[in-house]
Amino acid sequence: MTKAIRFYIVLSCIYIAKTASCQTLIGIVKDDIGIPVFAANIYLNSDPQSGCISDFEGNFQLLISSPKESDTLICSFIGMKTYRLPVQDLPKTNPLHITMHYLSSELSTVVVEANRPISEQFAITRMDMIDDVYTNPIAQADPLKAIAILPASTTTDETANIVLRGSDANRSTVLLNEVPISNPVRASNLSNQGFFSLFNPEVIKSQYVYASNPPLIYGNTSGGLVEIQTKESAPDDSRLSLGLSNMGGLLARSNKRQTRLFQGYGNIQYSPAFVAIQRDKLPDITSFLTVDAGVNFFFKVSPCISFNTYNYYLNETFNGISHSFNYRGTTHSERIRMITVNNLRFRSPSNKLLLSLNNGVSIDERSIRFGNILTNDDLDEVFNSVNLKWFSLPQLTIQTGINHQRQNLSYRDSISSNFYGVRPEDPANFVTGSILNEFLETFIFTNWVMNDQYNFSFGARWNPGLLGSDNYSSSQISLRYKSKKKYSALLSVGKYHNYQTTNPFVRDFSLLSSRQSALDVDWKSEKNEYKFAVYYKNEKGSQFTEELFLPVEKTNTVGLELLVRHQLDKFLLFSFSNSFIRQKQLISGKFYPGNNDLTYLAKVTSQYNNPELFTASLVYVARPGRWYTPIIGSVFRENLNSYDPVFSQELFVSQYSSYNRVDLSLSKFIPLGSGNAIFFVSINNIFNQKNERKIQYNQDYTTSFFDLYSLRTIYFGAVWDLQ
Amino acid sequence: MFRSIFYLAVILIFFFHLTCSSKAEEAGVSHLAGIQKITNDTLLDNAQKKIYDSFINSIVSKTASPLEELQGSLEELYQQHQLNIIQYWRGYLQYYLAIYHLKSGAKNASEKEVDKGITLIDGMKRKNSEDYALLAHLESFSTQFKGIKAATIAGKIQRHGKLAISMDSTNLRGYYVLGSSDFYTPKKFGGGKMVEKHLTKAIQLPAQTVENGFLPSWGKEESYELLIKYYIREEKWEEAVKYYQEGIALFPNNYQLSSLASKLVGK
Repeated sequence: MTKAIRFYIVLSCIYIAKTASCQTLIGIVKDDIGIPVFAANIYLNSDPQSGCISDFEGNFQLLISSPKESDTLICSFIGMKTYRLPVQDLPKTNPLHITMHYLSSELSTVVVEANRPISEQFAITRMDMIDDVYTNPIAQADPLKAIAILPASTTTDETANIVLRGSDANRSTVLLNEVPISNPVRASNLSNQGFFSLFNPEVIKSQYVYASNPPLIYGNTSGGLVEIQTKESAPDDSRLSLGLSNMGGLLARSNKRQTRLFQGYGNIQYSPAFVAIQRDKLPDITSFLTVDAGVNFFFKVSPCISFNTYNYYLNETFNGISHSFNYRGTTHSERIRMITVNNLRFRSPSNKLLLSLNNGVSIDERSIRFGNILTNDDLDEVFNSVNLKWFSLPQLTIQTGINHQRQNLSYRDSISSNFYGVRPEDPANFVTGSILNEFLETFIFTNWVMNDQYNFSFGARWNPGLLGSDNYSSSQISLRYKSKKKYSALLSVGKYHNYQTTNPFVRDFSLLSSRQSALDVDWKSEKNEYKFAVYYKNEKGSQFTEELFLPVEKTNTVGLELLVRHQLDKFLLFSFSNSFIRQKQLISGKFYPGNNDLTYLAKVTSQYNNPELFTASLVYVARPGRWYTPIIGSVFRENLNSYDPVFSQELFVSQYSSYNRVDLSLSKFIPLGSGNAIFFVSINNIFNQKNERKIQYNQDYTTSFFDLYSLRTIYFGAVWDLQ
Repeated sequence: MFRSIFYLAVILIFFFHLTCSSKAEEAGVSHLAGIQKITNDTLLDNAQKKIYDSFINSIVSKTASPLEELQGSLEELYQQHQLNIIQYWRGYLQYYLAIYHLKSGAKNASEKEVDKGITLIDGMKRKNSEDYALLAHLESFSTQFKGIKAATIAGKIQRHGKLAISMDSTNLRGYYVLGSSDFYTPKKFGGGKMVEKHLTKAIQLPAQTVENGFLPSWGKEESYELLIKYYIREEKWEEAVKYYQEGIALFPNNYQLSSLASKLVGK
């Protein structure tokens, strides 16, 4: 009996051990909204090769042999957070229900492009440095000048100043890494018209243009907005450039892990060669010398913290000839500009929050001498802001923040007593003083992705009137519609405020406001792009006409834009745009044509880009002449031995002749040494069209002639990429 | 006698249970196999290999029919189950359709097919690391047709490749597409600087973290091939030979890899 019992016990143990070592786990895998997950891997951590895969309904059966309580069941699928469950917690009888959660791809996008604005989908245009800046002759490799080719750009003065949809340049803002940069141009004249911007395209990662209804994430703009972001990564690069009037270099280095980027550049622009070979085409330029340098440094301190600093220095002098009414004489200007923009960004580990601390300091010292005008001003600006982006839900993003800006202008001016009497011997007033503009604003901006097609945003900004500033509020709403057939529409309405920048004739940080509404429609196919826009602006604030310094009570602008872009073949791109702008300004109770009152503004471009051969761009711009008030006579003043002009009773009744200009640029890549070189030549105004810029008179105003825009000029040079 | 009968009964019971257990296991296994069988019969099991085999059949038969048939089947499957993984394989098939047409000299058709693939993947919601890697791969292939737009597309490739890596730093396909894009970017446009870094990273990573016949595993062989080509181009023969030996050991049947041997003779 004893033997039998022992025998039976042994058999039983073998049986129990055998059956107990195998277990079949049945279960189902679904995502967080109950949809079955197909092809998920289910396995034990100790034996990943013996797992199973879920079917279309999410069902699975996993055979587990010899499960250990210390082991872990794992369920994984790409793009989803891995599910883990200790074996000891596995259900003994009921099926196992596994819920998988998506790793948010939207937030991962933020990880890679943490600075990508949530208002990006409301931008009219995102500009590409290669397509839109380097290969566009109008741009002359300048990022702000490149905006001139957009149909929304209504600049009429061949400068880099931002004039968008009829709004004066001092209503629009340029931001660098969320910090406003005032007067972002160089080679400026008395009216702050600059011929180039302060920015180097090599340090720019992205450039967004908001032609109207700028997002209220940023303040101090009542026209449009240009948002520039610097690079956070770039391949190592060493580059030298040499041109007819330019010599420069660029150095870019990053570490192996791409957590640090250093970019440094410097340029010297000089006049002798440029002027000597085409002196008759540049009658108003005697000499210029500009030295500028910039450093951009990005440092990813940790996966969640990054720091960027951009620093820029400019020193320029200009000697030339200028004209005003009946005086033609030498002009001399000097400028020193220093800018630093610093950003510290924090991202929460969950990727739901982005906090940025932004700081900007600018020192701008200028002096201009022309006739009896001598201005010296020093504008010191400090800007600080704290911005918070909260990705509260996949469909809802909220951004809020607070910013403080302080602008301190001190000036010592000798200004002509009469705006038309600028001869050295004409009477002038000496004025000295300083003005301070300081304000605090807070804002909220929300973006709601309603569904696949509709996207709604609301923004509000408030200045409570602290620090002696004005009390005002701005607000906006926007609705974007995107169809599945590459067609989208954007409707925006809002009210905006900004403080205008000063110039020697207007020493005042007065508050400007604007009510705007705009509808933008665009449609893209494989080879074509069509854009249409209609907009209305009602602008108020203390502004003056350019010529006669008459106070403008308000400006109404209605505009229509049309753009057609067609890729003719693999290498050839053609575009045509036209704008119709009806602009009226209210002066002393009566409406007159504004600076941007244009029955047409046509821009035609064609680009041929064949890397094996060459790149060529041809641009044609045409518009009617601007309106001006003619001088119909004069009165001699014996005591001053000068003539006072007599203006026409009716303002803005004469029109300059139509403006037409054709620019051509050619470039060619050639391997050179261990690197490569790009040779380029550009001819501006190739038909030497005499486009009238401003009317001028002889001493007694009996004869008139016209100051012209750029005549035909040639520029050539090369950029050598050493690495 | 009673004792003998008792022992016999115990033994019979023991083996009966074992047999039943075995049968239960077999039933379980067959049930599991049943599920697997159902799953295995779906188009998606080893979809990558099926697509590649169809591509080879198309090349051999000089007709796109094998690929187009598979294309139609995947489309029907997607209509039944709107799953991203099906869209992924549809996009992957478009890539091979584009290659087939290019090899046949039909550039327009090739461009059309790769653009279709891009549209399929780009239109997916909640794209994951694999989806972005494939999207960048398709965009990279498309640049040869885009002429003036190539520079703009290069920016998209970079962005999508980086997204693939940021979402899953162990996805070798993300590194492959970035390395491949840089390899094919002419030096005069700044190409060739990151090839080595991305492709050496790619070959260090496993094709799949956990083996799964329904999910992509491409990219490792291609990474080896391109890395060796890069070293040949740069005349870094030692590295070229080293990675050739490594690659051919792992993938002895890979035609593209083995064809590089002739360039390394004597080096």
